[in-house]
Amino acid sequence: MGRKYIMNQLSRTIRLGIPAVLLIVTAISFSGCDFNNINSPLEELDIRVKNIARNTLISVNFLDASTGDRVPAAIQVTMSGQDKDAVITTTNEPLQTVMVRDGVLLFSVLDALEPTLDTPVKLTLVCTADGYINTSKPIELTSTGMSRHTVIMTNANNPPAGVISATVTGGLTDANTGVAEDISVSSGTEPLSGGSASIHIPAGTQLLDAAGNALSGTVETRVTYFNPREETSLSAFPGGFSVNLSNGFQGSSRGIFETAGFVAIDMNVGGIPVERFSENTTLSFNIPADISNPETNQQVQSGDVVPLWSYNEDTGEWTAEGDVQLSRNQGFAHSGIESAQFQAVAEGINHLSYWNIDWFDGEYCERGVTLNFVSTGGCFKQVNVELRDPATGNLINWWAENVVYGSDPTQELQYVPPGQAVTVEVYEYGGWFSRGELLTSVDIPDLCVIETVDIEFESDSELMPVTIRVEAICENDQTRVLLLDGVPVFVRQEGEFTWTNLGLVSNGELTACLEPGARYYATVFFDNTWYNSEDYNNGQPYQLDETDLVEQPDGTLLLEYIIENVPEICDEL
Amino acid sequence: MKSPAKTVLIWTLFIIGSTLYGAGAQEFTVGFTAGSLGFGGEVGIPFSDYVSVRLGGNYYTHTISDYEYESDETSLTVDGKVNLRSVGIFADYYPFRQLVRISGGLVYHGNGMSADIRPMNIYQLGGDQYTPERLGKLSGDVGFQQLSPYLGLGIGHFPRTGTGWLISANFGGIYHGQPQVGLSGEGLIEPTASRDQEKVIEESISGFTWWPVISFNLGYRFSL
Repeated sequence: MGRKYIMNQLSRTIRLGIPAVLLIVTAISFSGCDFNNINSPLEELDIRVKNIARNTLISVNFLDASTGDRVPAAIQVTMSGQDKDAVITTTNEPLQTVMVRDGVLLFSVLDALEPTLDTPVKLTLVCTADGYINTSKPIELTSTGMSRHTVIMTNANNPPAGVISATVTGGLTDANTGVAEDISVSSGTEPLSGGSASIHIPAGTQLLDAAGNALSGTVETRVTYFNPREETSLSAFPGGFSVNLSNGFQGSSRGIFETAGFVAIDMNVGGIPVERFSENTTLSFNIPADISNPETNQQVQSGDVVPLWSYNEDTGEWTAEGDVQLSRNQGFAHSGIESAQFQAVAEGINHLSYWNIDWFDGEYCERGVTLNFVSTGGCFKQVNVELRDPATGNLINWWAENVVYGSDPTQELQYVPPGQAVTVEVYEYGGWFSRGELLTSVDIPDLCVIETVDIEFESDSELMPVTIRVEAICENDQTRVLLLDGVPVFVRQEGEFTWTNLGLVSNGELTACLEPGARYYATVFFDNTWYNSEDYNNGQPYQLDETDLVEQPDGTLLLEYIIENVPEICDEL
Repeated sequence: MKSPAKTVLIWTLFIIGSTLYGAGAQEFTVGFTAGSLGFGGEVGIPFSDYVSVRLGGNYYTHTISDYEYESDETSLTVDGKVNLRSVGIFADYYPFRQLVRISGGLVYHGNGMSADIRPMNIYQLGGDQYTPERLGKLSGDVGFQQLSPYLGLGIGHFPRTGTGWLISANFGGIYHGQPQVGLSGEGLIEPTASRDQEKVIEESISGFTWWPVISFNLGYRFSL
């Protein structure tokens, strides 16, 4: 077989091949192969990207001590403390001072920091708001993930039960000669306990600002007394009763306070805050007689000695300032109040802050029992929880969190007193300071035992687990989707005032307990911005879809929030 | 359960075996093929002046590496691979006893494509840099129904024409149905690889139900 044969075969193949190919193409076209339907596969593909999730998130609720709702005023929060330089926004920008306008703050710390019990991250939030008494909140992080904290702020014009505040504008001071006459300001008598506090500044005392400069002008003084018995009053104790000390006390640098009363004193001259005095001033407390002295396990007596403490708002630490001795207040007379019969006078007060007279217990175990709250119904949104001393029935004040959320039902107790027995009481949620029906109570003999205790309760709520999907969509030439990761979702049921943190979305999804048929407003916090579901009108680009629950084929419920064309996201991604 | 490839192979061996067993002197062809199924070979056995059977297989892999794709503000690097793997058995009918044949067959169709796409841009969101390393890669593959029918026309040798060289060609298609798309992702771009996105791509290529076959064969006819 030669070359000529091959060429002939090839020629015949080509001559017959062309019509054959045409025939096949025609046949295929008629048989359903629609080549017009073949588009570029990537044309309709959404480019979906996750955001970079932070390792550690801190969520802080700011609540009004009187109403239990979020603080309506703008709050300036300044970061302070050991790790203040590590504070960042959730999109990794440095954060030192922030104005909180929604009663909720969310921030993070550098991803490189991995807090543990041995290497905690320590911060203090210094919080100021018009009309509210300045306070601060020490935060100690011992693990990654999201932690929730609450700052209770006291509205001086609408204080809660157990708190009384008085503001006096009067008296002149001169930078060279000090106050012209003695200044004495009292909080007034707190009606539930008969307690009170007052400050006396002798004539000639110079009033100094933070830089040490003597001030001149009219003096405004506010004295706010917190009685040591009311829950609403105690909740406003700055930083809570599990405390860090700046200079140690009886060999301990941290421990637990049991208070006999505390006072916040603010002064300003022409709007400039007074921080110090050139001379010593005098602080006086009238305290209820039915306060128990933990050192004697009896009610306080004349001659009892109680440590005096001052608070550093920048560090969140307390400093021992000596002792005060209780004496019977012979001159006390207050209608209907028999208990306020002791006086404590502290001299040598040379600076302003919170001052308190507290007993201190420096024994604690770093890690204690873990409480796991379980609803037998499988789903709960939030419950009120109280820890009480089973011997006395008294509320245990060092545990500041009195609401447990279904999205974060496990609470590890840290820095707890050894040998402390408690009764854990779970109530239907009724607000921060009020509670509904008692659901269950569980006795725990020793908080220092490292184990998990299930606190089971029956909840008759109609809540259902709902999957929430959050996406940010940019539609330009091609759809781009930012699938939010590690971002918290807050919801507020119609008619409620306070946002509830449902937890973090993971890969754009979160399962939480919601009530089918109810209307919720939702918001997510991302890129230092709140993206609300509320139906904003013209000019507001941040609008989430309505909150419709959609039943999925597998029976689960889906709530889908889509953030559309958010410039901060779409312009950058 | 037998694999499709195994099924095709068993039936082919059965047919060839029974043919050789039943015939005395038997002609057969062995050839090399090249075409849209890749490169391979085939063995053909004529049964009569009108009918013959072929068994063939093809293989080819083509890769592209670090292909850079630029569009507006997007820059991508693509690594891709086309895998052609097929084994088939075909029956040829020569209505005019020579040259033109109508072919039908059954093909184990292991053809497929895969690609890794890596975004190359750096995006800034807040204080975070979305670097190519963090964005990761998106991987995709396209596969087909594995046991698929073939239909086509051919031009080639006349059955039972003695020994010698021959040339033939096939034009047809393998019906593999709607392609199946698989996506997977690593890094921050991982959410792109979801089932609904796979469906989007499947929908966009849903018209590609036939694998076109154009192949040429150079063979030799033997007589036993």
